[in-house]
Amino acid sequence: MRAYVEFAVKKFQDKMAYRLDFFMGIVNTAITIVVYLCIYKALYGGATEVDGISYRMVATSFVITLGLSNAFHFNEMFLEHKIHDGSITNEFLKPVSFLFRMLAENIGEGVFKLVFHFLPALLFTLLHTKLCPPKSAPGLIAMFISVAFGYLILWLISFIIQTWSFWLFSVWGIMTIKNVFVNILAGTLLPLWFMPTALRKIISFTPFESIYFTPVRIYLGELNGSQILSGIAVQVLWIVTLGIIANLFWKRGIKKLVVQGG
Amino acid sequence: MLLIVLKDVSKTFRDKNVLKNISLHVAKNEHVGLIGLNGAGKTTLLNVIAGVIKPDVGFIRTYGKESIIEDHQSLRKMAYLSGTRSQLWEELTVKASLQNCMNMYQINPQVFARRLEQLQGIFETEAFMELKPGNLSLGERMRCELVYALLAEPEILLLDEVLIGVDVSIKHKIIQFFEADRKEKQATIIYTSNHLAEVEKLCDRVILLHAGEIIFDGKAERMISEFSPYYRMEIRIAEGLPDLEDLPLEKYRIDSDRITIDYDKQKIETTQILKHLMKKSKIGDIRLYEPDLEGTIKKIYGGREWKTS
Repeated sequence: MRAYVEFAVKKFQDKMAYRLDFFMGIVNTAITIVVYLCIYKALYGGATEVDGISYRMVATSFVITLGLSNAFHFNEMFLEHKIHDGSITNEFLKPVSFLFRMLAENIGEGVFKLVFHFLPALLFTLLHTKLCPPKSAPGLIAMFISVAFGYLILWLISFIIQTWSFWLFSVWGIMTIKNVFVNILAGTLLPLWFMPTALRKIISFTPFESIYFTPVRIYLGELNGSQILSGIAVQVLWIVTLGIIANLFWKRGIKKLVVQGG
Repeated sequence: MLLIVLKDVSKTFRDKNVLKNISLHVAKNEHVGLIGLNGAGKTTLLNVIAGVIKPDVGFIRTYGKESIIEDHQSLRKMAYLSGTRSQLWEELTVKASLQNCMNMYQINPQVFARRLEQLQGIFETEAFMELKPGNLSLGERMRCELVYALLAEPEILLLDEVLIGVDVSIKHKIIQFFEADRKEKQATIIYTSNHLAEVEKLCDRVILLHAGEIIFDGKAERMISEFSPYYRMEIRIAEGLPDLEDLPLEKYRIDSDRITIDYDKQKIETTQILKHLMKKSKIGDIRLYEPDLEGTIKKIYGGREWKTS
């Protein structure tokens, strides 16, 4: 376990070394948030509510969703590159689980971006836009747990597609399609409140809703008490399901590599 | 104790038979040199031993495991170092990679510090600690890789062409390090190379692979005395022609002032030839060629048909 925590810490420290990247990350996150907020302000056109959702709720939802999606962006071609240049076999020889090592390093990077990209961008946003405060302290804690689970779901979806590079020459195209799906179905572009009811129903059966929307709803107090628990339970269910699928592809991939020799 | 056991192992990639019926036992603390020309199957054989390639047929056990890569306890006792692939983290500094190594191999921090200092002294890697592998030259990188591999004091060490790109002075240090290790009997080493001379210094036992088959397995001295091909001497004569008829040479050719001699060290020493030459003539220039691997392979095959694939 300690080794994995250290992997995350090393990655975190490595990111600190890049000053320019650090400032550009803040600027990038801040610009994305501001642009979207402006568009929505115009769409609201002075109205206080659309479909029972206030501008302030939309703004809060956007800041959380966009901020997190910027922070949770990692190198999704990592496994493909390792397979192509053959260095994957060296990874098998390390006495740690490669899957958990990858996850730990991605988390290290994610935490760095959360603290050094998202937080400053959030403070900057607060200077000019009023956001909803958290509904309650327990709700805020539940939201943090839910964010972590949301990240795991996002990571597992990406990892599953990454494992396909054991069979496919490139997974870049599939990854791009996946990202479009995440952007639309997880509510990065348009909050899920505004989706047509039928589509919303379909999305609720996919893991995408659990990525950003569940944490947002917990934060805004749209989910309360037992609803929070069931929201998190759905997240856990998705993590287990996707984890099993990921492990299946991963084991098969290793088997293929070991038999065919890369 | 037998650490590595292979029995009738074969491996085919697409249509190429890379390994053919390899049977091999390696005991604890044995130093084995695996030599062969390019494409002989040396790296594949190491990969099979390391568990990253599964043979089509045959029996393989490393540490009693069919596939060592699934067992982290056993993996902690093995290091596989390759001149063409890196164990270091490409995106991290060498120092961070070494610290990751400490955590993965569960090395006590004090032991780690002591061991690191010792290895830094041998491989002179102090200056590279804050750099990333991409900023190092091939030789510098190899030295860092060696430090990384040796930090955990592995019981099994698989070394694949590790002297590639390393300066002569460092090469000498590396060879010295492994020679010392050979005396202390601390690790089991399998070392691949296509230089007979390197392997002779480092290993108790030599395995010669050719086209996926083991064509020699035994002591290095035996291989050299029995199968080493002829040495070659090229001499430019400044004055007076020598008489070479009464020397036990394999072959010689005189071409105006140049003489080329092929001889067998079992029959005649280099100095004997020189003494004989200097009796009658003045020597302008001498060049000596050591026997190479290709010659050795040819000689082992002897009268047999010379196979190239």
